[in-house]
Amino acid sequence: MAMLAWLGLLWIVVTRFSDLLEAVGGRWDEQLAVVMVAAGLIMSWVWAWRDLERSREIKVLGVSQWDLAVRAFSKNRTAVAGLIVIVALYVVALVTPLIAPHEPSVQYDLVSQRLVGMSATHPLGTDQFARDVFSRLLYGARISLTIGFLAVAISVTIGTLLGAIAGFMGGYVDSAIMRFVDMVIAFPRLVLLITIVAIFEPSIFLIVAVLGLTLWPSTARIVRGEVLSLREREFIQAAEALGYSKRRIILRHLIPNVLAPVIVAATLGIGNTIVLEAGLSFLGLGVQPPTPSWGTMVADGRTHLLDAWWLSTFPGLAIVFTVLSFNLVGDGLRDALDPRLRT
Amino acid sequence: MSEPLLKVRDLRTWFYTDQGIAKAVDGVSFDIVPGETLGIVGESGCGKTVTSLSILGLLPQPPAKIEEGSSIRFADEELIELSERRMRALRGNEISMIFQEPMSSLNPVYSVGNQISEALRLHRGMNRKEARAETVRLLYEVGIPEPDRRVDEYPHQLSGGMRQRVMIAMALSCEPKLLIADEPTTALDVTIQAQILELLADLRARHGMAVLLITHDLGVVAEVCDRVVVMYAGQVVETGEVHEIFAEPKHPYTKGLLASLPSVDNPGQRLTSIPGTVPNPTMWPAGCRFQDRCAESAPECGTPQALVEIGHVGRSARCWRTQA
Repeated sequence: MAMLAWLGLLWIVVTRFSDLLEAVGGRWDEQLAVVMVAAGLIMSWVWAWRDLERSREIKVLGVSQWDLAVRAFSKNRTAVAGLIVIVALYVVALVTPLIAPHEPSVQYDLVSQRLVGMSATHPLGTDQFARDVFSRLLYGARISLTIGFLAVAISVTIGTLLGAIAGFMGGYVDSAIMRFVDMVIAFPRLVLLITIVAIFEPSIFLIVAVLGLTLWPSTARIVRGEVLSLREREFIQAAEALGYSKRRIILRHLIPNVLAPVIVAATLGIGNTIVLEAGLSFLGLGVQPPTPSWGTMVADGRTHLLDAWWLSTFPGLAIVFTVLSFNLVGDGLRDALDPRLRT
Repeated sequence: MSEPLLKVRDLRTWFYTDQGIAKAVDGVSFDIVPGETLGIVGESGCGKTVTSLSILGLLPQPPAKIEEGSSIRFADEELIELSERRMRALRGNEISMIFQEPMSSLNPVYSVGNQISEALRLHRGMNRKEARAETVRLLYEVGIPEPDRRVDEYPHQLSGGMRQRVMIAMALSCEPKLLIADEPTTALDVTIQAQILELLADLRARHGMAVLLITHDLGVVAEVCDRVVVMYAGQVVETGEVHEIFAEPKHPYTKGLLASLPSVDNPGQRLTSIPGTVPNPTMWPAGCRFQDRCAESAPECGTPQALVEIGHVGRSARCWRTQA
């Protein structure tokens, strides 16, 4: 694994060395990409080194539940495949400025380069504005994955905290939080989104905020349910008997114990969010042109479905594969983290 | 007798439920002096655990409520009136508790060393390194072999007896003056049980702490306790030194408990049992609460019975026959 990543990054450095040098003094995303490449190179070395060290000593003691889960997960081939795809996607998304053959919004000669099929210069052809589809797909990955990741990060944080507080405190606090959850769930999300986007200027920040702030109730419910059963377990009583504060018990003793279902929900949530974002962009409420996102690309391509099939097909496939990968990983995690299913 | 460390007076912990008021603990009084082991004995549902949780203030209120007039004095403080903040400082520091189920009383996501260190760092203000060294020492003290290796293990890698030892190490971490052990050996098998009891007795002697041992097993009481409080239906029915209780039980309930112990003298004999179960705490019988199950019940049992001293201080029973 580490070796492969290292070789991949090295390939970037060797083939695009001049771009790399330029990028150091370039836009913020280009600089970020350079930092990522450097960090990746170092990380993969460190990893490989650690694996080597590990294999020398046979480690028997101190097997945490995580170690067991990692073992169970790595036995699940489809889930591992999904994970590799996801990691690869995120790596690609982060170093996009270095590997994309063209600028995503640059229009080439509209007469000769419009809607051209696949070729060496344009691996996935060009669109109706003579822009390179492959480059746009790569940049679109960045948008889609960022939105998915950030929105889920926000919703999981809010959901876990509120769910844990509701479950542990019980009583009025619980009722208040859970009724709020019901309220948020009862609100039709698409209508809310359309309203908000209509009021404010649609932007990536807005989409992330709206998705993040409407997706947390399911997490809160999962966490609350788990906490309700954990609260009765004796180690929580023991923590109280040791004089730990409520905050400490919630943050250090309850939340780590509910992380397993939360991680599963989060993984599946990222898939959902990407589809939602694509849907919004398709409706024109999401990412605004000329910024590429998979949703807008599918939307833009639909007028040329018959004469230029590659316009919608590739971003569509990208969505399908990404979401599929996230779901596979989510299922794999669920199995790996559930001790009852572990063999 | 020296000045009591813990003085419980007329403790009444009632639960306000939809089915009525459950008087789980109804007027319990007892003392513990420093360094002694007091056993609280009784069947399930007698209010033993509620008593111990009341002392630590760990009962969710509502539905539980400690009634007016109850008093729990620890050292010089009235625990019932203490602020939550002061109470937290007391828990784990001055009074510790170990629980019945060692399988679930450790947090599965942290290594055992991590959990003991947490208590040390919080209550004794140690840094990471000191806490780790102290943890290893504590694990050694509670008889865990290879403590410097075990410290990094997770609860699921330890056996039940080991986990109970870890729990004890955790409870001991801040050198409490009082250790409440709620059925510490019930979930363990017999050989381990003996080891844990021995360990508790040993640690008590070494640290001079008082132990409040809650159990339904009179065998355990005989082994480690100095004095015994027998509880039935939320009340104390008999108190006394261990040898007195065993030699001369006064209350029919104590007699029944003793009779149901297996005996080496009469092998092959069927075990006797007390018929019936503890009544529902929302409707204790009027008068003596044991009358429905008592073999010796008589019309006098219909009036409430008081806990009356017999012979000397600390020896008492709640039955009119002993007073006649």
